[in-house]
Amino acid sequence: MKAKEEPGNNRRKFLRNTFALGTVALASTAGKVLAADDSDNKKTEKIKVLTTDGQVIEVDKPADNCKINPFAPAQGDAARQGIPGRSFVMVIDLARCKNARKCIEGCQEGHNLKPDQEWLNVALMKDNPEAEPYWFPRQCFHCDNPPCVKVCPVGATFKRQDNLVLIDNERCIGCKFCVVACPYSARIFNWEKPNEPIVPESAYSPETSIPHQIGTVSKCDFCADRSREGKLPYCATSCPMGVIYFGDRNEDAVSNGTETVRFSQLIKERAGYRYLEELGTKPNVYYLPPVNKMFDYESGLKDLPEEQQRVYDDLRDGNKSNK
Amino acid sequence: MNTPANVLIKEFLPGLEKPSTKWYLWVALLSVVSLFGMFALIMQIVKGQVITGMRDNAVWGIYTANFVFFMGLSYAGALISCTFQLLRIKWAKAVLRIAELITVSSLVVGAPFILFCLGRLDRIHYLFAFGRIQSPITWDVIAISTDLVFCIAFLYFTHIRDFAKLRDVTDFNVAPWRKRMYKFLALGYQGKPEQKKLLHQAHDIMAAIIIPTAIIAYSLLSLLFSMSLKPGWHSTIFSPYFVVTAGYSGVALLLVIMWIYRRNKLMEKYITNQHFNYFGFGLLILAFVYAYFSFSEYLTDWYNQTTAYEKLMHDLVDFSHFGWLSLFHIVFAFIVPVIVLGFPWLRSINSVALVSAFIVVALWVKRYLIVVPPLENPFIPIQDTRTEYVNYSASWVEWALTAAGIAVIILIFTVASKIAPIIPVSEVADMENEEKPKLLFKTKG
Amino acid sequence: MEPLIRYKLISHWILSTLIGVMLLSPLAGFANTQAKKDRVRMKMYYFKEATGDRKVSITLTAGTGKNMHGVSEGQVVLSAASGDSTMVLATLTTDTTGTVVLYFAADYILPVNEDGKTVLEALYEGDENYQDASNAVEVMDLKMEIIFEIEDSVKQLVVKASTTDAEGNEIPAEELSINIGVQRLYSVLKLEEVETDSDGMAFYEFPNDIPGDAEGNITVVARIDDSDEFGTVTSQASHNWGTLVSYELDPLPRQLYTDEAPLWMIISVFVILLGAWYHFFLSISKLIKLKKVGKQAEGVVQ
Repeated sequence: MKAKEEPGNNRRKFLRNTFALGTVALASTAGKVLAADDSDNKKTEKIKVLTTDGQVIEVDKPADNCKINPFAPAQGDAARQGIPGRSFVMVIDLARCKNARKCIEGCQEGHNLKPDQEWLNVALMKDNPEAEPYWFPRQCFHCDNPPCVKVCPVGATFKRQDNLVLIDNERCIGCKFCVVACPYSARIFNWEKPNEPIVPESAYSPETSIPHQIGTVSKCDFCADRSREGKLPYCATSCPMGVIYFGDRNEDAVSNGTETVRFSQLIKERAGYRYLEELGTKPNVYYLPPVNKMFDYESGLKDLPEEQQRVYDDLRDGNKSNK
Repeated sequence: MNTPANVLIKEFLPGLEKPSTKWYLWVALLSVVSLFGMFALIMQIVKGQVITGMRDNAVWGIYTANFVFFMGLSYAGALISCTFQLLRIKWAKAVLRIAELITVSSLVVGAPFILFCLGRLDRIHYLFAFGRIQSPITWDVIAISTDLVFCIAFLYFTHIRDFAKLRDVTDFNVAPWRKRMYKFLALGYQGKPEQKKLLHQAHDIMAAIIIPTAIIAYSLLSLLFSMSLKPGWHSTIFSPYFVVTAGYSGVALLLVIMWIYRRNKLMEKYITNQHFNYFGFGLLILAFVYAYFSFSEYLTDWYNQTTAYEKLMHDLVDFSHFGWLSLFHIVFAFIVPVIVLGFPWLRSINSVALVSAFIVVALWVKRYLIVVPPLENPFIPIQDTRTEYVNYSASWVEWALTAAGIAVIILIFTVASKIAPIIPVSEVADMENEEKPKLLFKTKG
Repeated sequence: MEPLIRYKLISHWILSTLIGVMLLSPLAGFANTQAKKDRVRMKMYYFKEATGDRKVSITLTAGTGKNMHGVSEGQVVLSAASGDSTMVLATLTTDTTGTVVLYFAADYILPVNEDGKTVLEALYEGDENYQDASNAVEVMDLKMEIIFEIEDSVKQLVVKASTTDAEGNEIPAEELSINIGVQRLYSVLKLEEVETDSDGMAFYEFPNDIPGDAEGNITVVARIDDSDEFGTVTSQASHNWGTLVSYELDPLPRQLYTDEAPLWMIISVFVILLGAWYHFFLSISKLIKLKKVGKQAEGVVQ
C-alpha cells in the first residue's frame, strides 16, 4: 500500500496533534515536495531553498538528503530581512464587503487574539454628506514610508524588504509611540495578559506574532508565516465574499482564494486607490472603490448588537431618511 | 572674620540645625504620598497597564501630560538662573537658588513619567542597547539626561561657596557627618582670588551650555507630538510654543514657591516686593507671548477647517467633552493673569502668587488638552462601544503617581533647604560688596 | 503543492486508534438505533497533479444552510472496483472539516477495468448520529504535455492531451477545455481557457509581460477542472518566458525608517553632544583645578 493519509488542511489541528513530531514531519514534507519539483524539471540539478535564518541556499538532489524546513517562520535577524524577491500587497474590494466580520474572526483565531483585540477592523465610512456609507475593512497598511517604524526608539518594529512592517515583541519596550504615530490606528497594545499560546513550546517569531506578550504592541503581520507556506492570510481565506485579495506585486498577481487576478490590471481597471494617499506613507494596501456595491450597507448592520448599531447613527442619519 | 557673608549665614544656621518634629511629620506625610505612588507603580507593573485609564486610541494619558508639564517647570529655572549669571543681573540673586531647585527637582520627577508609560519597564536598558537615533524618544532620552546632569552640576556649582561657609562657620550645631559632608562638597574653596576666578569660569561655561541644552531638550519634547501626522499635533510651531509654555509655567511656579518661603519672617528681607514686582512683570510679558503662540497655533487650523481638524476643534469646545477644561485654561492661563498682573491696583504679593498658582494648574490642563483630545480623534473614526476606548479618563493609579510626583518635588525642597540656605548667601553678600561685574565677552575697541 | 507524507510518522498512531474505534463501534451503534439520524452528503473528487501523484478528496457534510457542517471522525472505506472484484484501498478518518484526502504516489498503479477506467468507490457507514452515504468516481488517466514553441518571435504555447487505451496506444483527447495559467505564490493565475482540437492539441499565444523569477523562468500550469471523464488533471512545465524579477534582497537605503540612521543625522547628533559635553568637562576641569589650589593653600597654611 503506497497511499498516505492526510487529514485535510486544518493547520490548527495539525499543530495541536503533532507538535512533538512537527519538525520531523515538516522536514520530510519538504523533502517530498522538493523531490516532486525535481521530477518535473530534470534539467535542474540544484534547487534554491530559503533556510530559517534567511539564507537562500542551493540543495543537491536527491532532495531526500535535504533536512531543511523551508516553511518555518524566520527568527532573529532573518525575520527582519524578509522573504527574498517578494513584494506583498493587499487589495480590498469595497464593493463586496458587507461587514460579515469573518475576516476579524479568522484573524483572531489564527493569531490567538482575544475577542476584543482587533488587528483587523471594519469601519463604516461615509465620504461626503450625499454619499452612501460603505464598509471599510482596514488593518496595517505595511507602508513603504512607515511613520511607526521611524519613531520606534529600539527598532522593535521594522520595515522589511518584502514590504512587511513587523513587530519584534521580544524587543518592544511598550512606549506606544508607534501607536500614536500610525495615522490609521492599526496598532493595538497588550494592556493585559494575552491569551496563552496554543502550542506552548513554539518559539516566537515576528512573522507569527505568537506568543503575545503583555505590555507590548501588536498589529497585523500580513501572515508572513503563511506566505512561506504559500498560503493566503487568514483574513483573505476567511472572507466569504472574497473581499480581500493578497499577493506579490513582483509576480503581478493577487488572489482572494477563489480567483487570482493580475494586480496591475485590477488597480488600473477598478481605479484602485490608497487610503489617505496625501499623508505620504505609501501604503501597500489598495482599495477598490465601493461602486456598484453587491450589498446594501444596511445588510451589514443586522447581525450587530444594538449598542454597536447606535455607534453608526451619526453616519446613517441622512441615508435612513431616504429609505 | 566678619564679612557680610558670615553675618548673613549666621541668620540661616538655626534653620539648618536639628529639624523640628513638625518637619519630620511633614517629611513623613510626603513620604507616605510618594510611597503610595510607588505602590501604584508596582501594581501597574504586576497587573499591566490595564489598571490605568489608557486604552487603544488614547494610549497616552496624564503620564505624558505630567511628563511635559514637569519638564516645562524645570525649564524656567535653568533659563533664568543661567541667563542672569551670564548677563550679571543681580537683583534676582536671592531667588535664583529656588529657581535652580525647581529645575533639578522637576527634572528628577518629570523624566520618570515618560517611563511610567512604558509597558515593559524591565526592558528599559534596550533604549541604550538598541537605541535608534531616528526616534524622537531617543533624542529626548539623550537631551533630558544631558540636561539633568548639567543642571545638577550647575546647582552644585552655585552651592560651593555656601558649603565652604558652612564648613568654616562656628557655633553651628550639626552632626559631625554633616560637617564632613560640607567639607567634602566645598572642594577646598577658601575664597582665594584664583579660586574665585576658576569658580566663576566654571559657572559661566556651565551657564552658557545649559541655555542651549535646555532649549533643545524642551524643543525635542514637543517633537514627540509634532513629528506625528495627527491633527492637533502635527504643527510646525510646537517647538517654540512648548519652550514659551515651559518658561511661562516655570516662572509662575517660581513665584508660588517664593511666596511659600516668604511666609517665613526671615525670608521677607531677601525675597522682596521687588522680586514679585519684576517677576510679575515678566510673567505678564510671558502671558502675552503665550497667548500670541496659542492664537497662532489655533488660528491657522481654525481658519482652514480641514475635516480632521474640525472634529478635534469641535471636541475642544464641546462642553460635554473638553469644553470646560478649555474654558478653564483660557480663563486662568490668559484672561485672569493679564487682568491681575496688568492693573497695578490689583497687583500684590498675594495676588501675584495666587494668579501664578492658577497659571500652573491651567498650564497642566493645557498639556492634558494637547495630549488627549488628538488621540481621541484619529483619522479613521472610532466606532467602538467600549466607553473606555472612546474617551480617556485617568485611573487611581495615574492620579496616585501624579500626587507622588508633586510630593517628591516638595520633599526635595524640604530636604534641600535643610542642607543649605535657600538663599544663596555668598552671592547675596557679594551684592553688598558691590564687586565690579566681569564681562564674559570683550569686544576689542 | 500538497505535502504527501506529512503524516507518515503518525499514521501508526492513527491506525491503532482506528482499530480501537472499529472494535468498539458495534457496541456503540447498538445502543441508539432508534434516534433520528442526520442525512450525510458525500462529495468525492479525483485529482491528478502535475507530479503524476493522484489524490482523492472526500468530504462528508450534514445539515443545511447555516447548520451545514463537516462530519468529523467519520470512517470512510475507499475501494477500487475492476470487473467484478473490489479491492479495499484504505479506511480513512475525516478531520474536523469533514474532509479526508488520500494520496497515491506517481508510481502507484491504480487498478483499471476493461475500458481503461479506474472506478473508486467510497462508503461511509454512518453512526448513531449520521446516516450512511456513498459515492464513486470513474476516471481515465489523462496525459497532458506542455510544449513551448516560438514562431516568428511569437510565443506559442501548445498543450497536448491524450489518453492510453488498453493496448497502450495513445488516443488524442478532443474538445477538452483546458485552463492555462501561471503558478504564483498562492495560486495559479489564470490566463486563458483553450480547447483541444481533433489532434488533442490546444494553442495559446503566450503574453510577454508575465513576471518570472530571476532567470525569467515561469511555471505554466495547464488544468482541466473536474471533468466527468478525467477528474481534475493538472500539468505543469517551466520555461524562461517570463520577465526577469530579481530575487535578491535589496538592502533598504539608510532612511528614517531603517535600522541604520541617515549619516547626516548621526553626524549632527554627535557634533551637538560633543560640543555640549566638551563644555561640561571643561567646567569640571576648572573645579578640579580649584580643588588643587585649595589643597596647595592648605599646605601653605599648615
